[in-house]
Amino acid sequence: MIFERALFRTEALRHELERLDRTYAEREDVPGTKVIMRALRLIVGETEREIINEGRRLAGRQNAVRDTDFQRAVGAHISTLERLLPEHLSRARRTHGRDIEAIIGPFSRLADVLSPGRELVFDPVDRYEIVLSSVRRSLQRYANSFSDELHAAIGHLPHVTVVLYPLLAERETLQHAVIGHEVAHVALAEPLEADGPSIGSLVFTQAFAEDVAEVRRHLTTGQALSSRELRAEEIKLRDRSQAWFWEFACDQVGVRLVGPAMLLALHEFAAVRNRWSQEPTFPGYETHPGLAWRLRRLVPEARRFLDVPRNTAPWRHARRVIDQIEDTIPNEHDKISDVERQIIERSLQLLDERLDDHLGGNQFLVGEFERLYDVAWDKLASGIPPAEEVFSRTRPDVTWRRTRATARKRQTRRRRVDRRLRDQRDDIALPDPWSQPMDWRVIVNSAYFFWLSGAALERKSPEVAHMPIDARALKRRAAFNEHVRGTLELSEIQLRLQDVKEQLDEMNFPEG
Amino acid sequence: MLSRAEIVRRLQDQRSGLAITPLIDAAKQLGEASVDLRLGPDFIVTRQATGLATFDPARVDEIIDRLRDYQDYVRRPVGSAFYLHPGEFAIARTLEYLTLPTGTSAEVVGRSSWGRLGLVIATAPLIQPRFSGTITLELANLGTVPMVLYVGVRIAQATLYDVGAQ
Repeated sequence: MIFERALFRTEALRHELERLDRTYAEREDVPGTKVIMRALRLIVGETEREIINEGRRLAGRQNAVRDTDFQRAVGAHISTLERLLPEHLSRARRTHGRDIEAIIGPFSRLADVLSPGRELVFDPVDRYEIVLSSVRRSLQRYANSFSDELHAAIGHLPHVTVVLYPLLAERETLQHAVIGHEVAHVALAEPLEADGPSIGSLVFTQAFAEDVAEVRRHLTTGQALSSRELRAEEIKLRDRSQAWFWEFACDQVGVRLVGPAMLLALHEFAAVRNRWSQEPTFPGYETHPGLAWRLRRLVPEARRFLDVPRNTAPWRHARRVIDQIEDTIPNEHDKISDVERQIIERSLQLLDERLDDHLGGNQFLVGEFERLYDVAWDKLASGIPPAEEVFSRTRPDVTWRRTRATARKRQTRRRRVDRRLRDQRDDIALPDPWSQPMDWRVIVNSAYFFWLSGAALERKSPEVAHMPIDARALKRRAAFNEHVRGTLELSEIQLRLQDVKEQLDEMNFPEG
Repeated sequence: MLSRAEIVRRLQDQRSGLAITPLIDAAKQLGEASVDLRLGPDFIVTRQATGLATFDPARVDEIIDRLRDYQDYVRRPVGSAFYLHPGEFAIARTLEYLTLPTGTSAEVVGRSSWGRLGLVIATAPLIQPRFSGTITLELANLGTVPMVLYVGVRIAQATLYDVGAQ
């Protein structure tokens, strides 16, 4: 009897996984969810095998003894399965909404190059926060109780990292830039060599080792501690300073990967509710520094992108936005010991020395932003989605102050070009290629500065230009985020279609 | 009507206000006096057996309330197939986003190769100046066999016109 009931349980789980398989069969945007389901199928399959094997082994025994022995053998597996599975099953049933889809492709690709084979799953939750969660660890803990084969099979699956994001903020496309901080966790936690330390651990370990004597002096000043107590306090201090270091490091790497939009998004996302400074009695003290320190560190990182010899209106607006963010940061400081502050700063310095090599071409290049920011801004101002970089399109960043002579020369040249084009009407040569998709980071950063400058609002009164609080501005905010979402989608579509456009022509009927 | 050369010139001139983006394959999509447009990934399909008796314009509010029962939204990945069965109607959109400046209008019709097989693109053909957005395509299969439409194929064409002084 217990045998049948056990099999009913696993069969129900198996059917549910099969149903989800069919639901997601044609979806390309949920590879991480499909990996989770593969892992769950392996586990449910192994549990079923165990049930059947035990059932066979105990078949000859008397009912009562058999049931007791059976329950002892497989009861724990089923109990663990039913504790473990609901979280992952709920996640598999509940995929991300359409409104965040535009940003998933770009972040997933970024995570894949920073940590090859890693899949991201974007999981909407009701909490207003963004956190990472690793799937493999919890599944492998379960597999350990089974067999080495199951453990190895799960180990061979791609790493899946879940990004939990607030469902309420799904339509805040610009704010999704803050996910760059989470992708930075992936970049910094990736082992430099197989089974070796990550760059994050390496630099922190070095910095901590340099100051360990100072740590012990600090901990024993004014109090006598046993060696065990000292060790415990040392670990606590180390863990806290390491956690804080990781937060600063991921902020910095996030800006390197995504651009100044990461700072803008962090400010928008966190300044509403995060503490500006931390104290030992405040929640989160052991894991997160105050926002003031974080933003103060990030402002110069964001300014790197604006430190170019350009002074057109878009650039002036962008510099003003960063200045205004800096002005909002109060002069508050976290209550943390000098030695911890020293260790954190030293770790960040060591990291900074290695970041360019570590991130390589995955960084968002200042030159790329410089090249295209004016173009993107101009398109946004004209109501055109800046999804595509048309190579032969005239640029708006040429100085507009022209002498009359220059204007006349331009007109004459234009007439000559027009005449030539008219004469060669049937023979116009198109640039090849015509265009390429605009980098998603150019789109997000340009749009964010455009929005925060107030350029997107119909009425640009000084009071609302940088603090849009009236109802019309809120509607405009939703519409602008939708416009950015659509622009990112167009860019993604062009990226995908570039490689398959020849095949698409074969799936069409020829004219005539 | 704008010629290919003029369309190209205006697409390349940032001050023209004309945009058709993205042009995945400009060489193939730009005809002598037209621009081919591709099928986008979003569809609205009509359900069968909804229990709806009529759409009565005298009762517009009822239509708006019942539309949810009548239609489903479907999104298909780029390059994937969308099946339009005989007699079936679906609303789609172009992949390209168009921006027309003041003084320029457009007309959008289906490509003749599809029309001859029974695919009717019953879109309101005239696109007014200062329009911006993707073009809605109303697709109907008047043929007797299902049609397979792939997201991203060239399915319609737009011709552009200068509008006289207002």
